Amino acid sequence: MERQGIPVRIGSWEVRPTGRSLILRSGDLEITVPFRDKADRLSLRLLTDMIKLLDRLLQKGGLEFRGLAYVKLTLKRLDEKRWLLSARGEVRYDVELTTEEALLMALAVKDAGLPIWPPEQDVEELLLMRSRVFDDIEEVMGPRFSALARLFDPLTRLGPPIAWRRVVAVVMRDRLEEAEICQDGAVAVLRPGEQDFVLTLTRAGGSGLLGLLSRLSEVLGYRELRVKADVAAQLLIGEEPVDELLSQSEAARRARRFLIREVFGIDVPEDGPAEVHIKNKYGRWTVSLDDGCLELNGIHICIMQRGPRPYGVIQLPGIGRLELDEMTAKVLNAVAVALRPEKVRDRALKKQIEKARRMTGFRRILGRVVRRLLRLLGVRAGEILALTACPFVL
Amino acid sequence: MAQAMALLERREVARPISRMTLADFLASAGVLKAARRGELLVLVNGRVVPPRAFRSTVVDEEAKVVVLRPLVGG
Repeated sequence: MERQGIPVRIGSWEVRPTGRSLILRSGDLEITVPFRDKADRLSLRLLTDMIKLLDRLLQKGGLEFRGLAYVKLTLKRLDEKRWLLSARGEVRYDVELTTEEALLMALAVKDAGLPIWPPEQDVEELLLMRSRVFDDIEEVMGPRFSALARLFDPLTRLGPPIAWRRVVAVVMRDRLEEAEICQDGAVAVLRPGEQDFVLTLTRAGGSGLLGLLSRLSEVLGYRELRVKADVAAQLLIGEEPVDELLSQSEAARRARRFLIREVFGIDVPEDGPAEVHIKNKYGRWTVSLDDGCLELNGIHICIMQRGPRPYGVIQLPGIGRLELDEMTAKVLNAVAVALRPEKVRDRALKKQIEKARRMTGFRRILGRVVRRLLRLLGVRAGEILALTACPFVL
Repeated sequence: MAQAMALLERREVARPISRMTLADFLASAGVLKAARRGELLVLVNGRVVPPRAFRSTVVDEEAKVVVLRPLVGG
């Protein structure tokens, strides 16, 4: 597979790479699989794995996948040309697909890291599962670190991943009427919109992020949330739990801003960056509304929530009682720490806070010394500020 | 019909609590024991309530209550 455009025959399939896509042909069937990088870099082993999966699906007439969230996906042949894709669990829908779409979805779902059920204990399975780990490394630490990490992995995948989010979003945009997203009693309906997908909150629940969003929807004035196509793709195949996928949405940020205002009575702007700033004698605290990350004077404070559910319970006028999702509880908790750092009892956390505070004290003294030195030398601070990358030192 | 049912269900879930002591509130949420052991942070209307005041603190539908599992350093 060194040169672009040269076809390879594997079993009954003819495989031809074209740029970032791979064209697979067998008899009347032809599918184009998009990749996240040039498809001519795929190893022969990965190609045979893909063909094996397609042949298995066509021979058996069906496959079952399990998501990381509580979702079961089933692909089943209805007749010569029609297939049924069903999701059950936290996500529920039935869509009819053509054979080509069913094959594409099988490849996409498999590449997203969802294992086939019942699980197979063979090396190929392990190989594809590991490739998912490298996708996550790439997302968090960037492609260079991922490429470096791959060098040290003996079971390295030797090829780019399928652009599975795009495949799922494109197929679902055409075929899906609506999908029900259920979580602890809360129900929302996901439908394809003009550009993205639209999530409509239909039934309030007693817990979880979906429950919180639906309960606050009247107060905050929204019933519909716009969901990006790639997030919708993750939701539809149950690649991540609903809470995690909605945690960084604008609606979740608005809900958390509202809760901070209500619970702690502090002024939080409606819009702006996804952060809350608090100033006190310890310095300037920053709390991320997306993941509850806490910083004191620009120094990261490593925090964790200990113990099982419930992570937090809240009761507000007109809204009632609600069990909080893990991330919202962490955000409120981080704000509580920033507002009352002297009340923190955990030694490890206290130590970090004191260290961040001392560091700032040291920086302030250093700044004062540098300023006096500069004055003695007849240099204006403004001139140095223009040159330095750390203006807070001055 | 479906919309009417959805509205009814929304109201059902959002029904406010009646007047009760904080201890009863925590017990109904299943966190009273942990809160009494001091494992939870309990705030009522923005103020931290110590375990000894759980019985004497009254919460009604106007009260803002939040119960959190305190953070620890990583």
